[in-house]
Amino acid sequence: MKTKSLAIVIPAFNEEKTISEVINGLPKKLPGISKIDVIVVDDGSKDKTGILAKRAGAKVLRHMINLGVGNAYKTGLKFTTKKYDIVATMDADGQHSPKDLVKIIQPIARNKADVVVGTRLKNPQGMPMVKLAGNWIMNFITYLFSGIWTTDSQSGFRAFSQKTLKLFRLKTGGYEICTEMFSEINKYGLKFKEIPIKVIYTKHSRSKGQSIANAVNIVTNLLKRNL
Amino acid sequence: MIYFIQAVSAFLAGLVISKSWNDFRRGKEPLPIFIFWVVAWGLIVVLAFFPFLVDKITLSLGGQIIGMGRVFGIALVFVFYVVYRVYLKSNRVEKQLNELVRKIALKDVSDKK
Repeated sequence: MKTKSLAIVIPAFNEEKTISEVINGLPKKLPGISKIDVIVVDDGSKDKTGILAKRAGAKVLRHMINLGVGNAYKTGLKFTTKKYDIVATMDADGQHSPKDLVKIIQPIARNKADVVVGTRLKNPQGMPMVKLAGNWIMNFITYLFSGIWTTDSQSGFRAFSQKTLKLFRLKTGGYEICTEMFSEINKYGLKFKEIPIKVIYTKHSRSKGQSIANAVNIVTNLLKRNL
Repeated sequence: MIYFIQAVSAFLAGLVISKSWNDFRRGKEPLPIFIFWVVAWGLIVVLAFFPFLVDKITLSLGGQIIGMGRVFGIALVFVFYVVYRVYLKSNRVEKQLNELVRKIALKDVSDKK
């Protein structure tokens, strides 16, 4: 089997507490992967996120100002699309287990899927009730906009084949990009797979993420995108 | 007796004109723009306090009585058009800004190689 190159894109905004640990915890070698690069998109952080990420060995793309997580994804994906066979995305708050990376990229490496989403909700132990409810609302909104029912539409742990990223035309710049990706999957008839992942809940990771109130913003931006 | 609409228009006019004056003093706004806001909001306050002036003006120009209701209707259409234009422009500027920041981020990385 031909070995493939992998880029792990991590959008980060004010994550100096966790970024080094997240990067250092990533595997240096994976079966069937010849090259692994970590790309951190520092989305206008006011702290030392970018410096620490670089020190930990990541390539750092720095936004001069904070543009939002969607724009951070877009910058990271633009940088990696033509250079790597597989691109994975992870959160910078340390909630994703690096051990799950193999499971996420395997279906793509074996040409069994074009997009893989790590779902936290097939085993939601430890997830606060508010976040569970919020995720369900977002899954429903995602279904309305994309026609795809997913158990975790807001998961940041994903993997994409190069073919997928060349097709995607992402327009949004905030959290709604998670839903927009499902619209693109449906639009191009891509093979999509969900893989259960473990979530590491710490005081820090619980404080991050989006609130239910943000659903209004997300719907407004998705409506704007589709008009 | 001062009606609610008169109080609100006077309050908003005070707010806009004082903000505009501050910006003008600090050199953030040119004189013609400051004058435009003073005249525009001055007119709004005058019409709010003396609505009969609308009919006097239209009659003296050879027209007929149109009433404040119609003036508000016309103003609303105009305001919606302005909001639409501002929305388009802000959207375009936001996209350009995002693209610019992204290009700089990508260029910085390729320059460091």
